Amino acid sequence: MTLDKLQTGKTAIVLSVDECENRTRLLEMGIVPGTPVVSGRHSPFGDPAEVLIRDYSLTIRLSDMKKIRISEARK
Amino acid sequence: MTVALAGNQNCGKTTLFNTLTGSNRHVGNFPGVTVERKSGRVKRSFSERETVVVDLPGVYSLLPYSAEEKAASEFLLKMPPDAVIAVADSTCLSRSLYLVLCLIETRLPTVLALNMFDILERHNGSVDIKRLSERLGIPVIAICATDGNGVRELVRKAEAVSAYTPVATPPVITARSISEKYAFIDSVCRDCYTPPQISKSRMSRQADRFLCGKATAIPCFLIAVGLIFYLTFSLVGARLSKLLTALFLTLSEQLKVILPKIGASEGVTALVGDGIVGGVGSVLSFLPLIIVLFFLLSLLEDSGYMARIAFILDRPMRLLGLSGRDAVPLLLGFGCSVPAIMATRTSSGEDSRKKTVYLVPFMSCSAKIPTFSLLSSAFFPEHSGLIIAGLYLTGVAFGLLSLLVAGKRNIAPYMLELPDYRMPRAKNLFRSLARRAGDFAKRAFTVIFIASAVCWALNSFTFRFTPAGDNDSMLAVLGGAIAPLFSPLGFGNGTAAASLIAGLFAKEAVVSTLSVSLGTCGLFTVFTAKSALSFMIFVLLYPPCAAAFAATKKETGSYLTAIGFTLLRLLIAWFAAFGVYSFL
Repeated sequence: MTLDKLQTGKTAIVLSVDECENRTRLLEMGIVPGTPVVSGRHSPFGDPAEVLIRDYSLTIRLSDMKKIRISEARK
Repeated sequence: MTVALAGNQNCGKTTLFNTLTGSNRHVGNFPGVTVERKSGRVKRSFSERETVVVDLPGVYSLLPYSAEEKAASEFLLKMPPDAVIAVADSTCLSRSLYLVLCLIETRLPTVLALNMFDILERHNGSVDIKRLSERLGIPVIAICATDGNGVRELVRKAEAVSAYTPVATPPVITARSISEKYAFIDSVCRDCYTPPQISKSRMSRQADRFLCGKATAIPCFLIAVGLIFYLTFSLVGARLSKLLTALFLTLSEQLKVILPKIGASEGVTALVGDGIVGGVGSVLSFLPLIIVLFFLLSLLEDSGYMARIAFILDRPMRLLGLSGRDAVPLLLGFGCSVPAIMATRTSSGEDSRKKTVYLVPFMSCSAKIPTFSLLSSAFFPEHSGLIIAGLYLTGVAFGLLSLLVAGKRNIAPYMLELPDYRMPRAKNLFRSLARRAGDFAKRAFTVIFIASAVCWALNSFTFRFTPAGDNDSMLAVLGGAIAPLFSPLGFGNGTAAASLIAGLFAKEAVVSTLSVSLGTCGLFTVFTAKSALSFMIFVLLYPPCAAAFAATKKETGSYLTAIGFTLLRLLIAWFAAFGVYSFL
C-alpha cells in the first residue's frame, strides 16, 4: 500500500520510498523506513495533503505520496 | 568572531537573532521569510566580546533545493564561520536533529540550542541535556529565545567552542546515509527525550479544520484577501492618504508664498514648491497605503496563515507549472513588485522562480492606484470602483494567460511544513513596519526626489534651457516624438506619452506628470472615456518601474532576461490597449 491510500486519521509505518525526483528530500524531511505516519487533511482542491510525522505537520503532493510504501499499523 | 545561526524554518531562529542583537529583524512564520543574510553584533548584555551573528535562511538540510537554501549552505561551506549555533525546536526534536547531524558532519564547531524549551516543559516533555550532549558530542543548551532565558550561556558556549579543534571523526559521523542518520536520531530520542504530552498543535488542528476545510478554505481565503484590500484601499489607508495629500498641497502653496518673501528667485520657488514638494509629496502621501498593506501581509505571515495559502493554492498554481509556495510572492506583488520579486528566493527550482518573477508585475502594484483612481473617477464617476476591480482582474488574467501560452515544461516540486498558528507579536510587527516605512521614505527622498526634480526640469525648460512655453518643454518634445506610437491606442498625445516615460522611473510619477502639466480639467482635452480606459490598461500592463527592473535583473541574474521581460510587457500592453480602444 502507498501513503496516498491511507485513510485520514489512520496511522501507518513507512516501509520504503521508491526512486523518484524528490526521494532525497522526502527522506531528509524524516520520511524514512520505520517511521510512523498519520494521514492528515487534504487541501480543498484534493491535493496536496498533510502528513503528521515526527511531531510536525508536513504537506506533500499525492504524486509524492504514491512513492511512499507503507504498512498499516495493527490496532 | 563570527557565529552563524542555522536551523529549520519556524524554529524561532529569527527571534533568537532579534534577542541576540536587538536589531530590527522580521520574525516570519512563513517558511523562508529570512530572504537575506542578516548579521548584527551581539548585545553587550550577552557578551563582552565583539561577536557577530549571521542569521541564515531556514533550511532542513545542507542540500540546497531553493535559491535561499543554496545561500545558506554555501555560506556555511565556503565561508566557514568561527562557530555555528544550531537552533532546534524542542517540541519536535527528531526532525530538528537531522540538520544538526549534517552540521556536525561538516566539522564546523557547533553548539545546539534547544529553543522553545518552556513550551516543551509546559506540556510535560523533557530532555536529558547532559546525555544528549554526550551522544552528539557537542554542547547543548536549553533556551527560550522570546524571553532570553539561557541565551547568555549559549553565547558563552558558542564563543568557547570556536577555540576547539573538532575531533577528527565525531562519533555520530559513522551514520552516513539519511536513513542511518535518522536511525541514530531515533535511538538518541528514545534515550534522552520525552516528547510533549499534549500536542501543542491541537489548537492549530481545530483552526485548520475551518481555515483549510473543504468547503470553508476558499471562502476564508477570499475574505482574507478582500479584507486586506478593503482595509488598505478604502477604510484606513486611502483616508490617511487623502489627509496627507491635502497637507502637502497646503505646504506647497505656503512655500510658494513664503519663498519669494525671503528672496528666492521665481525659478527656485517653482522648483521647490511644484517640483520637489509636489513630487515627493505625491509619493509620500502614498505611504499610509503601503504601511497598511504591509502591516496586514506581515500579520498573515507571522500568524502562520501564509503557509496555509500555499497549501490551499498548490493545485491551481500547478496548472501554471508553479507550486503553492509561489502564490505568496504573487500576493505581495499587489503591494510592491520589488519585495515580491525578492521573495521568489524561496521558490524551489530556477524555472518556477523565473516564471514567478515574470508574473509578479501583472499583479497591479499599489503605485498604480493613483493613476487608476484619478482617471476612473474623472471618466467613470459612477463605476470607478468597478473599473478598478476590473483592472486588477485583467492584470491577473493577462499574466496567467501569457504563462499558459508559454506552457509548462516541468512542475516545481512542493513540500511544505505547516507551522502552528501563533499570535503575532506586536513588537515584531511594528519593527518590520518601521523598516518598510523607512525604506519607502528613503526611496521617496532619494530616487523620487531626484526623479521629480528632473521631471520638473524637463517639463519647465526647453532643450536650450530657456523657460518652456506650452509645447516646447523637453518632456513635451520627447513625449511628442514617441506620441505617434500611441495614436492607435487613442492617446497619441505628448503629455500622455511623457507621463508614461516618467512612469518607467516610478509608477507614481504617471499621475504627478499628468497633473503637473494638465491639471484635472485638462484631462478631458487629452482623453476620452474610451482612450482613458485604454491608457489605464496600458499603465496596468507596461513594464514596472526601474527598481523592479533592477530586482528582476538581480533575481534572475541576467540583463537579457530582464530586458526580454520588459520588451514582452511593452508588446502585451500595446496590443491589449489597442484591442480595448478599437473593439470596445
